[in-house]
Amino acid sequence: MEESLLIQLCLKQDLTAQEFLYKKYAPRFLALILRYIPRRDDAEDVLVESIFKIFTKLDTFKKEGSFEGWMKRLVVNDCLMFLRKNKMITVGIDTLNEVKADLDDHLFREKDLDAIKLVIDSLPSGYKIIFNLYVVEGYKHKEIAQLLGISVNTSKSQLIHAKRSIRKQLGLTHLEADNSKTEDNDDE
Amino acid sequence: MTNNFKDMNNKVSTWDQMSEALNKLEQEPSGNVWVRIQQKKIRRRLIRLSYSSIAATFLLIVGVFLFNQRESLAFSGYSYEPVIEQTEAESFLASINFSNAHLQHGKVGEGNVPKMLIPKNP
Repeated sequence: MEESLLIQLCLKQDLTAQEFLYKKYAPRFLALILRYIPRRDDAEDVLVESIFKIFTKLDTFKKEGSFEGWMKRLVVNDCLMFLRKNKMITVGIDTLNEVKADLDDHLFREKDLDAIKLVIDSLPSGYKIIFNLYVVEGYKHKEIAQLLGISVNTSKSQLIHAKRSIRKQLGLTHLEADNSKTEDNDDE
Repeated sequence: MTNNFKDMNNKVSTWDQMSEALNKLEQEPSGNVWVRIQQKKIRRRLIRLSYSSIAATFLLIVGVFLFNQRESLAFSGYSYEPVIEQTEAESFLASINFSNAHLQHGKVGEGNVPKMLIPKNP
């Protein structure tokens, strides 16, 4: 089904279209939510809330960006709301100077995604949230700072700590500079 | 839980590849999620309906109250002074002066009702 038609039908509260949208996106959204909220029951609660919100707030979608991107932002906001409500966000306050030497990005040895996923899941909540928001969801440091009520520098340093921790836990050292992506200081 | 991910064979070696691979991951929600969304929709409709009923009832009560108030508003503070000019066998011929009669829209009436026959036993 074409996306614009799907949106129109969902706006008209067409149950078949809503179910189609749910079946298409819910598995992806649940995987996204599980990156922030490890308990499956909690993650499904957030999924229910998010899908319901997507249906009820669909009229506010302005078609400026991608539909999936708009939905993902709603889902991420719901995740952060859940974490905040349950006091599960703890972001340490770091200074950027401390980790300045580690600003460049590095390749690491080829790894299975499940191993990496386990390592990400084991990160402290602040590292994990910022890593997911920046690396996976593609948020800018400025946006992350606003979302979490922290400074841009804290966001940057937490990201670097997260990356360093991931590499360390995967038993990898810096192998080669990745010149294609020097995002850690790109977007204030 | 992690082992339930559909696509576990991805090999990644950069943050970009990792991001791409993680974004492609899917987790099948349990069967009751869709049902819970529908229940939530119904609950919301019922809540809206009950709010509408409450609002309608409230408006009705206010309407009835104002309608009842209208009579007393129109005539509250009425003071009059009958002037009996003539007494007939069965009625008076009288005129009524009235003052400070509170009418609708905050108006206060002054004036008199011209001569009229008032029955003795109405």
